[in-house]
Amino acid sequence: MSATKISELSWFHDFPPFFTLQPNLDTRRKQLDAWCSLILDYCRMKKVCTFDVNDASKFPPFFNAKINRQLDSNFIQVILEELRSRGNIEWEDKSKRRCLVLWKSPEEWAKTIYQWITAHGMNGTVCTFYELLHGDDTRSAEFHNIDPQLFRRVLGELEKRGQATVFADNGTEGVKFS
Amino acid sequence: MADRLAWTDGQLHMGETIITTQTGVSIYDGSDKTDYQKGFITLTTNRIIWKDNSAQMELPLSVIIFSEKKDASFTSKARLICAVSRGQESKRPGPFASSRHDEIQFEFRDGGCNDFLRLIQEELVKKRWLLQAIKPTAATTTTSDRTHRAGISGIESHIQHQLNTQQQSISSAFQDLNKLMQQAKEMVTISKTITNKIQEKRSDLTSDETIRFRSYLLSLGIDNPVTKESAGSQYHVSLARELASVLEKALKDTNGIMTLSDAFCRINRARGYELISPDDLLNAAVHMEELDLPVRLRVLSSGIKSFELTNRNEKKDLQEITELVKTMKSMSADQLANTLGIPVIVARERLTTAEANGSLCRDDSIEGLRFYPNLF
Repeated sequence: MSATKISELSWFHDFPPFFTLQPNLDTRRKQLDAWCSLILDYCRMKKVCTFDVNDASKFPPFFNAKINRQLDSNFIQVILEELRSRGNIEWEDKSKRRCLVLWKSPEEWAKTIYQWITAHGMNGTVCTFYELLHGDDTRSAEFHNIDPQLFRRVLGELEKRGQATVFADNGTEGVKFS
Repeated sequence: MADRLAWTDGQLHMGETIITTQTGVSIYDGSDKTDYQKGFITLTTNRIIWKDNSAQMELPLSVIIFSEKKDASFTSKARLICAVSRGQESKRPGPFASSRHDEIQFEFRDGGCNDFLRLIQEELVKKRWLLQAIKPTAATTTTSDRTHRAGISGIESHIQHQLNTQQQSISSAFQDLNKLMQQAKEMVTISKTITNKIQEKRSDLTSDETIRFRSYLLSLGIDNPVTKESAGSQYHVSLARELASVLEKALKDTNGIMTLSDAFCRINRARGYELISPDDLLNAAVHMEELDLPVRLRVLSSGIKSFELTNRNEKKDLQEITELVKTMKSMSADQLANTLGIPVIVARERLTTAEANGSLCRDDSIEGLRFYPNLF
């Protein structure tokens, strides 16, 4: 991803009607499509893995100072609900304040990680979360620096398949891939 | 002041109600004994009525300044003392021609003085006789000195007051309207005399001037307006035809659409006198469709009624607007109204239609509602 600005991800971001929930249902569908892809592209670019509704007003895609527009909370809820129905976010709490952003589905993530481990011959080795997420070896991997919560969620997926075992020791969390 | 007592037939007035009654009550003029002993006393919202077998008399509550109790003594039972004002009203015939005392005393031989005193004092505070006094004599005499008070009676009197003022303003408004009609008639007469004069002096004026003069006159009014008298049962149908012929040209100027209220103003200005009512306009408008006229009534989705040319092409209109918005990049209803010369409400209607159609989309911000080409 070469883009660094939101407006490069989607030119819609500079289009004022983009920030008004469209009453025409056909138009609204297309508008929400555009919003979902913009948010996922942005999160992929910035490696944003969690989203807190309380900080929604600081989330860069949700406002555009250049054209002086921002989303109201109602519209944000509509977008989040749309993302959830598409399986692109998962709520972490019942009150729906925090969520994981899945620009890749957990299954895809699991596959990616397992492939990387296998390619580097690390099956059977015990690794700490820290070295996998922030270590020098994984710098080139896509999962480098992703949110630990998302990482745990993906390892849960691998555990289900019997491809990894997660354990904790003295507060340090580790994983062994099989 | 026993001379304030007046003969009565004992009938209750409109709206008057009985509060309490007591037997064995004697009347004293001041402390002087009178002939009226051991009678039957009644307290109503308006007055005190005393009667025995031979006489009936009343004391209006409005003349009582205050009342108090004189306790029982060796010589008399408990007495109710009513201080009475001299008042300016002419004296009505009563049992006493004159009196040198300022008060009337009622002696309660059979008791009940305390209750009576309490109730009469309540009534003196409520002053309910004032309310009832309004009804028979209409609003003119009492409105000025009446005060609004709390409670249901207060609300009732307030409503009554409002009704009166409304009635007055309505009747004065109609007077104005009549005057207007009369003046309009004069205007038309003047314009007719001018026309006649022009015809007489045709040779003196150049043809150009005559034409200009005539166009002024035409813009003032319609020569022979359709009225209820001249058309009878066909009134609305004929009116519809007249409306169509007048509005057709106007509609062409205003982009093929005009709200009912605008049309109403234009029609009545064109008629000058024999004005039509909004109801007539609406009734006539309903007939337009069946008469196959070049103008028809249309109810916009917002509920606004408007006239439009029958040959107006909706699709073409929407396309035009979409194109216009495209060239302007974005537009508010205001701007569109100014550009096309149509009412804002109609402009807004068209923009939302185009939006529902999917050709426009909206931007609703603190700066107002604007419409953009639908790029989604």
